[in-house]
Amino acid sequence: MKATASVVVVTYRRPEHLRTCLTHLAALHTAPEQITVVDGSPDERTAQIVRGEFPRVAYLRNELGPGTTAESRQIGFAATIGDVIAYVDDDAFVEPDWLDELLRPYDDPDVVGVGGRTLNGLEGEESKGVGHIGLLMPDGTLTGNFAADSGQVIKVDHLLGANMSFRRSAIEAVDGIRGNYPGTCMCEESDISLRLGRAGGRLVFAPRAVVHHLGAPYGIGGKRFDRRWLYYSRRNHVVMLVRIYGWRDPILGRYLATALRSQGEYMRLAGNRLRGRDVEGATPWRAPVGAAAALTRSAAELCGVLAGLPSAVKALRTDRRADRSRQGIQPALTTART
Amino acid sequence: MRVSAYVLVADPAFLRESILAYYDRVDRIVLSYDETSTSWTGTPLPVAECLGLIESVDTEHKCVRAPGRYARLGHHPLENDTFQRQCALAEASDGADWVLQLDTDEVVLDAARFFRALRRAEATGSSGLDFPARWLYAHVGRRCYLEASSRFWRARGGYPGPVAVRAGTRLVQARQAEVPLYRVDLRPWNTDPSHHHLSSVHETVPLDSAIAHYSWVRDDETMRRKFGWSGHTDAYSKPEVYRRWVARQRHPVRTVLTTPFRRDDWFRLARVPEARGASL
Repeated sequence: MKATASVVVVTYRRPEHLRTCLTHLAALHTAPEQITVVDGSPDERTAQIVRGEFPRVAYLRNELGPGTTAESRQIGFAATIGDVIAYVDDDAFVEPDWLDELLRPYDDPDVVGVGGRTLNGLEGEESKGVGHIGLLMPDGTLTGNFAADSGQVIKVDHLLGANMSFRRSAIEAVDGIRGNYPGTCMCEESDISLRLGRAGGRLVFAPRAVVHHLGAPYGIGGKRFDRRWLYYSRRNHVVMLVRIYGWRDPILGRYLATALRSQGEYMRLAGNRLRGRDVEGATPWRAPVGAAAALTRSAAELCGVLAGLPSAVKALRTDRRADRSRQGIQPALTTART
Repeated sequence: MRVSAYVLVADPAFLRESILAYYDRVDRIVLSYDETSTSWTGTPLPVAECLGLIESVDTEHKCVRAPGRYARLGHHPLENDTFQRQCALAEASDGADWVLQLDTDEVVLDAARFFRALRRAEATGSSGLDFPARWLYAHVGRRCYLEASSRFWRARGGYPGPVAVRAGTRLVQARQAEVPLYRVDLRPWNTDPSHHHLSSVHETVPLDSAIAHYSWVRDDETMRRKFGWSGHTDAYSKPEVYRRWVARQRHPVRTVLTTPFRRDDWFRLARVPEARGASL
């Protein structure tokens, strides 16, 4: 029997993009069982568009505020019924055969997650990074390259949140999508992917399941890939590795070493800028400003790595508490008090 | 996954060990050689001796002879190298998904890991497999070699080109091809100084699982002849290259101790596990 699908769109203050996203979803060759929007916006504009223009789309609220995309995904998962939950970002527009292509690999019962290509409109992105799509490398880093056309369905270690899907039973078996990944580079999609892989599931990349990703400005403000993004990418990556592999796994140490090693590139860039090699228009003040800009990016990353360590301790505690409550075991202290 | 291999038949040293290491895991081995037993530079090659050796290990009749005219003296040796490989690769691609392109002095010491990496390369959509080779410079004692290393004696992988490619790949120079590579290394970070230090590593293997490349492990006479037929003959035929090799072989400890003070040519002393069918 063919798997049924529910589509979940998580959104935060991007009503116009969401409208286009839902318009594309309505034009799918095969309609999903449900389309659900999970909205964390503080205003009513998104709700008005969904209720007014897309009456068949379910609308849910996430009241936790900005930076809680992971929680929105879990809300969407909990409220849907499809055998497969497909996630698409509010600024990602699906092609008409997207869902058919995404569901095809689920004919193999070992497949627990399927992602597709996310095109960003960049020149040459179809061929860049083939062979390096969605992998966890031995140095603890993750590769992206989700725009690359592998030409065939391939095995991956993690998926991109803008265009990914999971088998419901597999997500249930690993206790759902975990939150506690704040900021603008959340890692929650990698977290669920890697946990499913660690549990023995197979994740694949289906290059013909295509979405066009606009890369809209963040609803919480700021530019894409700014220093805040660098900070959160490092912080959340450390947290994710600790939560999945623990403190003793060598992958954490390797990642920390890799993060430090990669700062050398910023130092080199700053040096080049100081020597006037990498700055256009050689006005005297541009060289030191350019060098300082490169160094602040390095500082953002290093702060992110450092912040990741105590955050990981906190996240682990939260995970343990959640595990205990799921198992119906009250912490000893709480029991003593009652 | 159907795997075949091609072999450039020219050098009898380590030929037996090299083929035996993967013989039972491939469907077919294409034997490419010049029909006049002449090298890319015009020197004579011991082709008949090599074919005899191969016949003795080819118990399942997997080897297919593919003679051709590859001693094109009007061309640069490296061009001839590429041309002969491309012909052999085309022949080996017939009915295969992947083709091994190992030189006959390269011995896969851990075939299980090697073929596991090849399957992973296939699974990730890569079109070539880069697997680390230990570049052995001289044999200085029982299973002990002078081996190329980092400046401070750390093990390093050598990558003369992908050791396996998808069938039908076009080579650009010698074994090299501009295709997405699945890179296996000895550490999570690149160990080969000739690659960018931030080059991606897909997978790591222990040192004993690397390919043993007995590149310069020969007796004096063979080494002199090899310098003549090699694709790199321009560089190797300079007298100081041979003199240096002889001196370093005679004084391995001195060679190792002076390593950090040289600009390049860094060595360490290392033991290499014995290959299947080894005759050393």
